[in-house]
Amino acid sequence: MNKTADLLPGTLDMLVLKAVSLKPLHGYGVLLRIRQISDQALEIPQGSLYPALNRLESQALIASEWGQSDNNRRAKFYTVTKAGLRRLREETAGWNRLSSAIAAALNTAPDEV
Amino acid sequence: MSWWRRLLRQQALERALDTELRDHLEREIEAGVRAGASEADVRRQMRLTSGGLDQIKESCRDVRRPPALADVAGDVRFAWRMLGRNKWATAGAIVTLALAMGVANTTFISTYADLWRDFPFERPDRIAIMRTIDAHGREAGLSFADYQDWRREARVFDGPSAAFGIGTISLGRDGTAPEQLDGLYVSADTFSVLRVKPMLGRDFAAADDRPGAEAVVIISSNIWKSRYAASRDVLGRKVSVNGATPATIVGVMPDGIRFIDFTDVWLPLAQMPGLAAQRRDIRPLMMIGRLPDGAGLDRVRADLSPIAANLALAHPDTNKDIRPLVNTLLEAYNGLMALTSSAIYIPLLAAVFVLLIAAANLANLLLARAAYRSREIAIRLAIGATHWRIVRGLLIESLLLAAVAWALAVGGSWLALRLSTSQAAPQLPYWHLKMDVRLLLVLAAIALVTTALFGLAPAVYASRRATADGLKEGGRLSTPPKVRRWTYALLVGQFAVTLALLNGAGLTARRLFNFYALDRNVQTSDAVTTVIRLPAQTYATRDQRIAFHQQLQARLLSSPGVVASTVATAAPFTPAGRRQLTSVDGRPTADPPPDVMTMVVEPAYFRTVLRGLVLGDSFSELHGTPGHEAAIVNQRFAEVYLGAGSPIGRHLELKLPTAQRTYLREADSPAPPVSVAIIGVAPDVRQVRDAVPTVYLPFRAEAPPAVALIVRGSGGSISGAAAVRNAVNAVDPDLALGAVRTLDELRDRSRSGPAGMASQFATIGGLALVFSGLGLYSAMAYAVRRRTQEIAVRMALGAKATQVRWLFLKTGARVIGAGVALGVPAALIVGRMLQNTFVGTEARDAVTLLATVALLTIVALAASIVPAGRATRIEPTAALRIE
Repeated sequence: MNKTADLLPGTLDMLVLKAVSLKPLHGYGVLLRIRQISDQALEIPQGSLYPALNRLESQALIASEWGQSDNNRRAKFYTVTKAGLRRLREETAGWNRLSSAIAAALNTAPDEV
Repeated sequence: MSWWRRLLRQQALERALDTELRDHLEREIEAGVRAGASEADVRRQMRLTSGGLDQIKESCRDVRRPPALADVAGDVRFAWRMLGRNKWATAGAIVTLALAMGVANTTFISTYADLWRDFPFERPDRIAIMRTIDAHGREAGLSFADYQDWRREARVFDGPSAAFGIGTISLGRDGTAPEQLDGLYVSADTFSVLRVKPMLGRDFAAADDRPGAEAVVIISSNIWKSRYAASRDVLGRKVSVNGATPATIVGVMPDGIRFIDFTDVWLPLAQMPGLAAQRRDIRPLMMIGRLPDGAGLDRVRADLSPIAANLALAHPDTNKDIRPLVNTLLEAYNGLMALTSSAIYIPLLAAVFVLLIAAANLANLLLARAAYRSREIAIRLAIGATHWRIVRGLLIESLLLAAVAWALAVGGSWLALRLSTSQAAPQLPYWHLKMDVRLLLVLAAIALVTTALFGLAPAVYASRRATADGLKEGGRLSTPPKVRRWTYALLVGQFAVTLALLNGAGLTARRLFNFYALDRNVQTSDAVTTVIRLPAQTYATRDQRIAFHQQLQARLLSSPGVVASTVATAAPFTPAGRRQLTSVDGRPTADPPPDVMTMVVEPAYFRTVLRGLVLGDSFSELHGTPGHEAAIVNQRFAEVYLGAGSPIGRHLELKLPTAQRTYLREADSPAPPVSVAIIGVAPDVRQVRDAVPTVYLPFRAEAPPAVALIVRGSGGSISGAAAVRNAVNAVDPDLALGAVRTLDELRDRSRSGPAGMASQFATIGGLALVFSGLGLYSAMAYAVRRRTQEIAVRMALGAKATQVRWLFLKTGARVIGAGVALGVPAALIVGRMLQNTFVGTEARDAVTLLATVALLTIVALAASIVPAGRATRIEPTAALRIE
C-alpha cells in the first residue's frame, strides 16, 4: 500500500487520456498502462476506471470500438479523439504549472521568507 | 430518436458494459493466478476496492446519461410498482378521481354550451340587441314608430340597424297541407346585420319592406327539405301566408340559420299585421345593430338615451320613462343572466367541490401511505437520497394517479356525451354539447394542480421526518398526531361540503316533488292539444270565431274515440297571459296593479282538463255575454287576494296590460278594465313553474284568435292527433295546424329544466356522499389496523367490546359533528344561490336540511361502525404474537 499513491481528484481523467493517447487500449489495458507508466505507483480500482471511461466517452474525449484482443477475446478498444488530445495538452500544461508551484511552495526554506 | 430505438440502444449499451466488466474481471483473475493468488482472493480484493459489478454499472450509468431525466424515469417505474403493490387502494383512488373529473367535465361542457353558444353568425359578440325598459324595471320591445325614430337618429352602429318581430306564420295552398311555423317578420337589413346570405335565391330588398309591397318569403333549409323536398325550383313558388296573403318564395337560408331561435319562415316587417297603425305603447319589435370595432354597449346606450328622452318629451303619454335596454345577442339568449349571474355557476361550483372532495380522499390515501412508508423513506434518506428526490417520487405517484384518472374521465364523458346527444334534440337555441379541447386542458390543469397540491403536503411531510425517528419506530404502523390532524381536517371539510351539496340536491328534488303534486290536478291521460290560430283576415269577428269552434267541437265529438273537447288560451304546462288586477270588491289594489295570470276557457275546461272545481259551478253558456260577466279563480288567488270569507260573489276588476312584454306574443289590443263576479274556485295547477294567482274568464266573452284545443280520447287505439287533424281539415281546409302534442309530453317537457337540475344535483350530491363515506371508512379502517396492538393490549387488560368500539365511534362522531357545524351555514348559502335560479327553490327548508343531516350522520356512523366492529373482533393473543 505504501508503494501506491492516492490519486488527486480530477487527475484520473488526465491519466486515462494520456494512456489511450499512446495506443488504443481496452479497459484492462488502460489499467495496466497507467500502472506501467507510473512505475507501479498508481493503482486504479475497477470501480473508478469504468465510470471515468464512460464519462470521457460521453464527453467525446475518447471513442471506442470493438475489436480482437491479444488472446482472441472480443474487447472494447478506446482511442483518444482530437478534442481529447487538446484537453490532454491543456490539462498537462495546467498540471505542470500547478505541480511546480506547489513544489516550489513546499520546498521553501524558513530563511527565504 | 424514437422511443424503441432509444430502448434498443439502452439494452445494447447495457450488454456492452456487462461484457467489458466481466472481461476485465477475468483478466484480473488470470493475472492474479499467474502471480500465485487464488481466484477467490482476487475476487475478494476486487470487491473490496471497487464494490460489486452492479455498483460499478450503476456509477457508469450515472455518468453516461443526464441524471435528472434518468431518475425521473426510474421514479415513474418505481411509483408504478408502489401503486401496483396496493391494488385496491389505488383502484379506489383512481375511480374516485375519475368519477369526480368525469362529472366535472360533463358539467363544464353543458355550462359552456349554456354560456357561450355556437352562433352561426360572423363575430356574434359584436351584435347588439335593443329593447326598452320602463320605470318599474319591466322589459318590453320596441314599437314600430319608436324603431323608426331610433333608426333614423342613431349614429353609433357599424352599418345598418334592423328590427324584427316574432309571429306564428302558416304556409298553405301550395299543394301540401297547411302548416303552422315559427316565423319572424324582419326589416330588410336584418340579414345584412347578421351577415348571413340565403344559400338559394336572394335576401329581402328595401322594396320588399314597403307598405303594400307584394309579399315575399324566405324559408329555412328545414322547411325546404321537409315541405319542398329540397327542390331547386322552389324559388318563385306561390304560397299563401296565414291562410290569406299570397306570397312568393324568394330565398332559402343555409343549414343552421334559424334566427331568432327556431324560425322556419321569414317575411318582411311590412307584412306584420297591424304594423302601420301600431300605437307607440305596443312594443312587439326588437332592434339589432353591429357595434363598431372598439366600442362597447355603453356607446350604444349613450347614443340611444337622448333619442329616447326626446321621444319621452314628444309623446309623454306613451313614452314617459321608457329607456333603451341594450344587450349583446348572447346576453339576450341567456335570458340576461349570462355571465353576471352566480346562478349559472352553481353546477360548476358543485362539480368543483366534488373534485375537491375526491382530491381530499386522494390526499388522505397518500398521507396514510406516506406514514405507512416512513421506514422505507427513512432508509432511502439514510443511504443518501435527497429530500427533493423523495418528494419528487411521491409527487410522481400522485400525478400518475391523476393522469390515469384523467384518461378514464375523458373517455367516460365522451361516451356519456355520445349517448346523451344521440337521445335528445337540443332544446335551447344554438346549444351544442361537444367535447372541447380547451375544456379538457383546463380540466387536466385543475386535476394536476389539485393532485399536486394535495399530494405535495403528504410528500413534504414524509420527507421531513427525521431519519432516525423513522428507523427507530421499527415495524410498527404508527401515524404521528400531525398526520391524523390533517386527515381529520380533510374529512370534516368533505362532510361540510357534502352537506351543502346534498341539501341543494334535496331542495331541487323537493321543488320537483311540488311539481308532481300540483300536476296531479290535471288529467293528462289520453289528451292531446294543439294551438288553433284563426287568421284575422277570415275570422275577423268574435262571432265568426265562436261559430268556428262550435263547428269544430261538434265534429270532434262525433269522431270515433273522442270523449271530450275544450279550448283555453293556454294548455296546462304552457305560459298563459296576464292581466292587471286593478281592484277587488271596489277597493283599488296596489299601484302599479299586480299582474295575475288569466286564462280564457270554455265551460267544459274544468271537468275535461282539471279534476273539476273545488267550490261553486263552472261557467254556463250564458256567461260571457253582456250582463253575465263572471270569473272563476284558483285557490292561490283566493289565498292571496281574497283573504277570509267565501270567494263566491266577490267582484274583481281586470285590465289588459298594453306595454308589457308584448314582443313575446301577438299584440293585444288595449281594452278598458272589465268587472267580473267570482262564481267558482278551481284547484291550483301549474302553467309554468308555480301555482300562481289565476283568474279564469269565459271564452264567449272574447273568443281570442289563438287558443289551445284540448281533446280527450277514450284511450283506445285511435290517435287523438289524427282526429284533430281530420276535424280541422273538414271545418276549414285552409287552416294551418301546428304540432299536436299529448298533455303528458307537455308536462314532461315543462319539468325537464328542474328535473335536469335535480338529477345533476342528485348525481353530484350522491357522489359527494359516497366519496365522503368512503373517505371516512378508509381512514377508520386504517386507524384500526394501525392500532391493532394497542387494542390487543387493552383487550388483554380487560377492555370490553363496547369500550373498544367507542374508541373509534368517538372519532367518527367528532368528524360528523364538526362537518355539520361547518356544513349548515354552507348549505344555507347554497340554498340562497339556488333560490335565484330558474328552478327557484326555497332558500332554507328545515325538513330538507334535517333529512340531509340525518342521512349524512347515518352514512358517517355506518362508515365508522364497520371498522370499529372489526376492532372488537381482534384476538389479543394472535395480535400480540405478531409483534
